[in-house]
Amino acid sequence: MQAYSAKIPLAGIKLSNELFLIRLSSSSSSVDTRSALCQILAENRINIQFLTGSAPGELSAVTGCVAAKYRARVKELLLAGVGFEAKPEFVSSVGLLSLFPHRASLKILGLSLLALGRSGVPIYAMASSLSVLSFITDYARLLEATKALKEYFDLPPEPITIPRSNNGTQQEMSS
Amino acid sequence: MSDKKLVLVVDDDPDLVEAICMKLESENFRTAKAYDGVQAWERIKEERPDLVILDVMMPNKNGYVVCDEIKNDPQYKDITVVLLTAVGEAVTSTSYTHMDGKTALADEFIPKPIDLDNLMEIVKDYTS
Amino acid sequence: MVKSSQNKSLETIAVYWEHRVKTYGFQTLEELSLIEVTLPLIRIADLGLAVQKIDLPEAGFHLTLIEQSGGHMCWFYLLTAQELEHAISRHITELISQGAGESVSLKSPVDLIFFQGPHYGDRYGIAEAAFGALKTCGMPILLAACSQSCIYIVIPCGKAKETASLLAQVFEVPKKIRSRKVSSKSKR
Repeated sequence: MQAYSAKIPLAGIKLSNELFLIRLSSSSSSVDTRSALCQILAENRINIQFLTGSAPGELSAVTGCVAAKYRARVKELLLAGVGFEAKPEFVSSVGLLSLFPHRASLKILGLSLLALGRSGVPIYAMASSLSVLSFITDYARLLEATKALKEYFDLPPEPITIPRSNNGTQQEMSS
Repeated sequence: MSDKKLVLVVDDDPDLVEAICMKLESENFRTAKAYDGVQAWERIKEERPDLVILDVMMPNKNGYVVCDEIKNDPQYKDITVVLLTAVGEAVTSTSYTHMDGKTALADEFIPKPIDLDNLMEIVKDYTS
Repeated sequence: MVKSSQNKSLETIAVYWEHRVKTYGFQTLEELSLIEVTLPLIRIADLGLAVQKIDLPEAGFHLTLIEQSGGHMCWFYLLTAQELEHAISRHITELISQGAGESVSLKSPVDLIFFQGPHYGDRYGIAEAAFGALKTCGMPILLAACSQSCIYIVIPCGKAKETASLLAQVFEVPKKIRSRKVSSKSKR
């Protein structure tokens, strides 16, 4: 890939720990997939690290990410028949790439989509926040995605990461 | 050089940095942003701020260390430092203890989550 | 129970729960335009090319998101000022809408409410509290995102104030609620 002629300076990229992606979709917009997913996760005290919900046309769709350690439990809960007409799909190992600040700029948004699209890394979901563009891609390809973005943006040499233990789970330091 | 006072906002939550800067700019301040302690020093050396709003829990260099470095540096010790102390009553202890906070040399301590209007009043008091 | 981590080049985290979730306050933006683009996933780079080429003064976004259909298609959303909607959607249509199943549509006007709090990504139940409060009162949600420390909810035009008061029943907010109508000159 050719480097972009004038790279846009940005403050940084953060990479998440390993996450599990859940997608619920229904062919009827009257089925509230968003509430269904949020309710199940809240009842089981599982943090949602990222969520998008939309209703394109007559459809209803929600995409959520939780820590990878909840993979089996969440899958079981959703496949056990939770009483709503929605089709669950899963991606077992994804990660969150957070690019900041986006400055509400269409240039920055467009170039990040161009970079990731050309690199071939999948974008399972994306959402903006006040200052951050967050992309969900394969966990194993986070560094590849980072490299692709560096073709267009002037970024610090190393992304910010959350520490991982040998088994891939997030290390936590109790005090 | 603008007459507006320059406030440096340092926090590893980019959304909070943005929210504070938007509020400061609406109150006629200029802003600079940093997302860790090392970047904070880079911004300070680029242009000396009138006041620094500094988070405690940050990667690379935490807020207490940056605060003490500022206050022990003859060139920068007069910069006002407002320290955003960690998570208040919800977190009873962290690797950054409140004892650390008491020994830090900040001009003001504000517990998180902050009230932006209250923060603006404090900033105005110190920069007027 | 509190857990935290901090290290060189590593992000800090805190995991905890509050009975009444604190926020830094609600912000509402009224009379915005929601552009919805349906296209194949393999056309993401073309979409990016089209978006980065939009050369309109003051053009920006208040919210953007992408969702996959689960198949080979995706939906791209851009929430922007109403006076920019036709120029932006025409630009995107010219550049990307060439293939089967691709479309660009507008929902306008719509309102947006967004709010943030400390470490929202580290706590369970926050999205459920927000969406549950609105569902109970039958408030329709057109689009929603929980990303980083922010929650964004797009609702029908004229519903921003009602939504804010519903959410204020379950979230702790500072006294002031900032609300304004948006022109293209104020990006956020």
